[in-house]
Amino acid sequence: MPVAAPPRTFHPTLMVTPWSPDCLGMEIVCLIGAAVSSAAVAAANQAYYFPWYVQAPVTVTSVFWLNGATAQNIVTVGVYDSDSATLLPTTRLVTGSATASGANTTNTVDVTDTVITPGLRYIALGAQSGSQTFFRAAPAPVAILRGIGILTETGLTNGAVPATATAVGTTTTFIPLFGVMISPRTTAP
Amino acid sequence: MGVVNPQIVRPTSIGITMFSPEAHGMGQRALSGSAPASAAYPVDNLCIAFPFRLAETTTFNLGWVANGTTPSGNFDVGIYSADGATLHASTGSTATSGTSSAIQSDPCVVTLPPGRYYCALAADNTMTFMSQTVTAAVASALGIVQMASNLPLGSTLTIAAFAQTVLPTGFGLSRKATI
Repeated sequence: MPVAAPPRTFHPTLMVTPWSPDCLGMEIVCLIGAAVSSAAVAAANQAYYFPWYVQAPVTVTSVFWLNGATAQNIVTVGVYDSDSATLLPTTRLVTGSATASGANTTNTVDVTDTVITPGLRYIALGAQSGSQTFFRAAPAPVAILRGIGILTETGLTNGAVPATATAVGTTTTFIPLFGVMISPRTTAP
Repeated sequence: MGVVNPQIVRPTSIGITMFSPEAHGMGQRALSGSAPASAAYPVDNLCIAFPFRLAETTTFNLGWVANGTTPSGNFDVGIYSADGATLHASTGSTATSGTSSAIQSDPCVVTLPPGRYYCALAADNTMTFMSQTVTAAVASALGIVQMASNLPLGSTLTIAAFAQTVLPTGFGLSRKATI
């Protein structure tokens, strides 16, 4: 008679960013060897979406981003479900926003604790101001970034990532350092 | 008495490239520390392939290439079995129509069970691709292979050691129907 043993232990990343192995860390590192640096967003009211391959249930407790030299207006981070057929982001599951504060400073926003189930999800960042800067990477070429699933969306209102995503293949190489924190972690250091 | 030990599987990446965890991934950094840039395809009608593995049943919808600065000529992207004996799917020889440095995709539809496969690219040497300069022996050590005169992709992949110094890295497969 088979005996059900506990699943093999899986320790999800405590801070999920585009550089996490659960996202596109391997691909981004292979495409560029340079450290992130401060740069302005590609456009005002634009969102950037990155696939998040969730392997085990996790609880998102807060969201964060790292401002660059200029912190200005509202920044929003979200987590999205995906459509099983198109694999595109659909419904927003988590959102947290604040007025960006402090040059070269990590901003953290508490959110309602939300369990994210395994599967393809997306993390997204939106910024209201075109002058807002983030620490970011800019790996080329953009064609490969589209191939690995990075998306953007324009026309946000006040920098808020929308309740329902309408994202398309990216036309920018902008990859900001931002993400979500996983329980038991709740704040940035 | 058997023990059932549930597996925890990372969902298959949306896009499979050499850089993906399904392929040699981080090993690409052993090949090159530079970002891919436009370069001419190394040899006319050469086929280049990299191994990848699937941990779950996966449907692919597209093969794609990242054009270099002078897109022209034909390419073919496909999937072979690990022993090269079976071509599971391919885009077919496709004329380049994309603009400089853009992505170009074509249907390559197949559902594959978990296992090991090769993702293959063949092209004529009038094309440019986003590529990296590499040492052939290092590429071989990572599992990259080649086959002469295989455009369009034939029904089998006759595996030979990779022997080029230019490696087109801007190609792959997509689970999405639109990139």
